[in-house]
Amino acid sequence: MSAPTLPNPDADSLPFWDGCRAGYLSAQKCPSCERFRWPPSEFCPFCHHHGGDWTTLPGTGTIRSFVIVDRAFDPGFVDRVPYVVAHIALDGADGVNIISNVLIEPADAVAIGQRVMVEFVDTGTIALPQFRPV
Amino acid sequence: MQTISNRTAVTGIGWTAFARSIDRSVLGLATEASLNAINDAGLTTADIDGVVTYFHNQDSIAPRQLVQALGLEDCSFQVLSALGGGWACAAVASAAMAIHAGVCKNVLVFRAMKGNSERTGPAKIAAGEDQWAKPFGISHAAARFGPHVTAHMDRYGTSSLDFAHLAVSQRDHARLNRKAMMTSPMTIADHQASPWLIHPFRLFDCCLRSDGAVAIVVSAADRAQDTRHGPVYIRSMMGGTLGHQHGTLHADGLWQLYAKRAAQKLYAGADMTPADIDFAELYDPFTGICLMHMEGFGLASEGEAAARVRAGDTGLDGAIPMNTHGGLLSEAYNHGLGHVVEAVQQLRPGGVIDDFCEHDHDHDRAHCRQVRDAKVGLVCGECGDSSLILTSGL
Repeated sequence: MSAPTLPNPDADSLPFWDGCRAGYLSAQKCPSCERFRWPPSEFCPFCHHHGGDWTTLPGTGTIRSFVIVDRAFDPGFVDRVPYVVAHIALDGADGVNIISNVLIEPADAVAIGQRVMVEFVDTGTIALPQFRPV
Repeated sequence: MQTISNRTAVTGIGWTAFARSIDRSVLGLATEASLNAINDAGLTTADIDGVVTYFHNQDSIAPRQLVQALGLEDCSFQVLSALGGGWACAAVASAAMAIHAGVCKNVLVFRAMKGNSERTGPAKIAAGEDQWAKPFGISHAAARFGPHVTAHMDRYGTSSLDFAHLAVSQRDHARLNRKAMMTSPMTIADHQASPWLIHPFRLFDCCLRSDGAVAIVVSAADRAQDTRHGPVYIRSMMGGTLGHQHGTLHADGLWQLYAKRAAQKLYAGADMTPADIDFAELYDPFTGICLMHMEGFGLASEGEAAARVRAGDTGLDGAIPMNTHGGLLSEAYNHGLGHVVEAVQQLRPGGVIDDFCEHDHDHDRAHCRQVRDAKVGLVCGECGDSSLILTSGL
């Protein structure tokens, strides 16, 4: 595929991207109030505890919403049109919703409520999470 | 009520032509719109002591550049925001706060951009919060806003055909607006035949791209009687947002935007309810989002905005005329400050000045876009992140 813009991991997100490279999704669970947070952050946004325990997730989730891109505005996605961008609620991390692509043919078969599973695409430096219906 | 309520007023409005490509600088456009607004207020540049502006992806100038271009000698406060269309009403609120605080007397608010002929883009890296969106092919606003609308459609049964009714209604309004860019008639069939861009949005669901500038002057209400048109009062203001970009990562329902939360405080700050609103100029980057703004601000029940549009309630003679100038969909992409200008026009004693009425407004919809008995107007920016209630009187 043509190359998407790769993420710049930072001090907050590096453990997530390292987890992707090792083949799993993860999110921080607050050791104090036990809530999951997203996006990654030093402080818990709920109780402001400083710190979070990176927790491995099963990699499955449910589609909360989506768009189908019919016209390529992103040069890195020109040869993928039409493609799906979805908001996915991750299992095992209540309240954590991430944005990713759902690899589904035809693209307009995507639906809210569909169950999906992660697969990682190796771009050389970053392993990008993508999802497929299960 | 907010302590600032009715203490400030919009006293001047100005604009340049809007077009797909204007071969002038952003600074030149900003200067022209500003001089028009200052003149409209019956003021001179010597009266202006504050400048506020906002941009998106650095597509415009800093306030001090306009201070220099206008030869302002006495500027006491400047504000520059990078928050784009969500900040449109907060720009007006910022000006009002400077005046209410006694820091400024007359503040110029402008938005100037070459949004079509010189498109700026976001940085070509995915850092910070962009790392969670850009790598997945979200580079068009339709992909950021779309999931909200998809979720709304799923929950309430809103459809592309519903969007068509809104697009057609706003095109009808634009045809009565001398400065509107899109004035050729649009039918439901035209809308439904327009190509898919980013589902659920077709081409005619998306706002324009355009070059041009808009400016307004905000003044103290108790000094506004001396201005050319008198005051349009700012009765209430809000300028917050949900913590996450567009609420995209929000745990609550994706089918609601900040508008719902802002509305409660906006109305309380005005000691009003949605029933008091005579007309509304609601940010319309996409048809579906505009419908959600209607619901957020209580102008329709949850899921019922589409039905109100279909029933004609948002037409110029409807119960709640909406985007009476054609909005971002058909007037021009001026990032929401055009919505403020339209509200002011509707509320002024003489009414709208750039429809096709030769003399007094007769409300004949072949040439007149003046709303009858317009006394209270609601304006909102993108996602309802900022909003205003404006009135013709106290």
